[in-house]
Amino acid sequence: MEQALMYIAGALMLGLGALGAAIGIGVLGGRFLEGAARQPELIPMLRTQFFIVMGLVDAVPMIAVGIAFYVLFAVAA
Amino acid sequence: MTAETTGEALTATGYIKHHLTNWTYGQFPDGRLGFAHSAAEAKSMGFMAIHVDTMLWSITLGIIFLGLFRMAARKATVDTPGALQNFVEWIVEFIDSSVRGTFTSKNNLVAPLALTIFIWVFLMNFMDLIPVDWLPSLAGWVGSTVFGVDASHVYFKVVPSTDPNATFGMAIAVFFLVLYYSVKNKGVGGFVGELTLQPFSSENKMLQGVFIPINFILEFVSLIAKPISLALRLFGNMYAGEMIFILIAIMYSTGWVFGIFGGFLQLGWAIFHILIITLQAFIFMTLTIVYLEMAHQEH
Amino acid sequence: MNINLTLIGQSITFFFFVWFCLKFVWPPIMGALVDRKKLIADGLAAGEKGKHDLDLAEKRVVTKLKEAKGKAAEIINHAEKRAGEIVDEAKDHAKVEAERIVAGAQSDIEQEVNRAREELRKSVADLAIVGASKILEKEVDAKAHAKMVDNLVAQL
Repeated sequence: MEQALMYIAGALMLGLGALGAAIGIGVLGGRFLEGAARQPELIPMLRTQFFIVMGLVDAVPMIAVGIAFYVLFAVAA
Repeated sequence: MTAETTGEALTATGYIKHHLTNWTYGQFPDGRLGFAHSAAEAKSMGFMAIHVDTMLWSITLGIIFLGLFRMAARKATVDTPGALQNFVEWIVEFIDSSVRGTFTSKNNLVAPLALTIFIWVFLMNFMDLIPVDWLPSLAGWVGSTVFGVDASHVYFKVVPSTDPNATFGMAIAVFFLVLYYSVKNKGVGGFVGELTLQPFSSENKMLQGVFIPINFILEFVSLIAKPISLALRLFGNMYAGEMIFILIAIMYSTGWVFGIFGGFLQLGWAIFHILIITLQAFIFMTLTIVYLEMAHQEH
Repeated sequence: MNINLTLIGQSITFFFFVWFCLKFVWPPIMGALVDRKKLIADGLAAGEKGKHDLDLAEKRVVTKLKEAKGKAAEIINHAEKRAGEIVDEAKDHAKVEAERIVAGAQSDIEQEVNRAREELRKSVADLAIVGASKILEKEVDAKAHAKMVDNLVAQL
């Protein structure tokens, strides 16, 4: 029973983290392209900012993936 | 890894746990000093312990970084820069332009601070790209042949930034700098005022009195969240990356097909990880600059 | 995953590295960069200045050349004029001289002619007188016919 809960916990972490990041990066990428299309001369600046924000958004699900794997393979197994 | 004697069986779980345990030196609960022989022993040492591998690698990498840059700096010439000087100047100019882009006040500390953070964190993250078993196996071999210790008792975690102590250590150092410059630039009154008089404020004295504790809670949480998020972001990313490398490494012990598949996976993940380690080092640096900039700004 | 003294150790290490970087790494590299920037800027400025100077010198050369050419033309003109004048003067002079010589010669000639005429007249008169006296020696007294002979002489 307890082990099953661990797997569910891992699945939730992976799934919800991926969901949030997917929405976030989708919006971010879309806006980046919009901005780039509107003002192509700003692309270098936008790209830097894009990567910074992507790093910020990407961090949380990546942490979730790490902890989920820890739970799945090191704790539950 | 012959871990039968310690109870950490040669299973995936044991392998992962072995990889995620630091080489710890400290005071046992009964008062004597020594190296921990298992994760449980390391835990029992509490706060009075030190992660030898984290310190060793972070200091080694720091010395490599500073030695390289110092060498370039000492031989820095105006007319004909060599290859090393060109490389160093490229990085320095990149950092300088990043700092100039974000930081508008006058402070000579910020640019060297940013350079140190970026290169040092990058190098610490870079250790993640070295195949996870190489250095721990080498350490285990050295431990068992030179010092006569059971190889399974030798813990060796090569990536300092997967140790929360390292990332929190840096984040707390940055946090102290932020506090210092906040108080220095705004005065104690200005700093306390920033914590208590916004975002809610009112002309009415009574209402303002009510708002102060609410403001303080909100601002204090956001203040504390800065170093914690800074440290956790780097730690989490590197820890997750390390975890995935370890899981891929497990595939090598499960037969040919999985081994080859794991090889490709490791290559792919390592290439993706190059982006992550650089990005995380850059973000750590950028956020440090932003926090320090906020500490210099008057409202 | 345990939080322990490593935290403080890392903070101290971090501060030490930042201090080292601030003291020994950043200033020389940044100094070299700034110096090089300045050097390049100075070089460019010097080049610009040199070019400007060259332009100015070229302009000056052109004006000087123009001036010199003008002066030369003027001198040549002047010389030509002067030569013309000299030639004219010489011509005038020559003409005057020639006229003078011609006039002198003419007057000489006239004088000579007059003298010759006078002489001729005299000799003709003498001759006439001699002839006449020879003729008249027999018939006429010289004194009686002198008036008539003189008239004749005057008519010659």
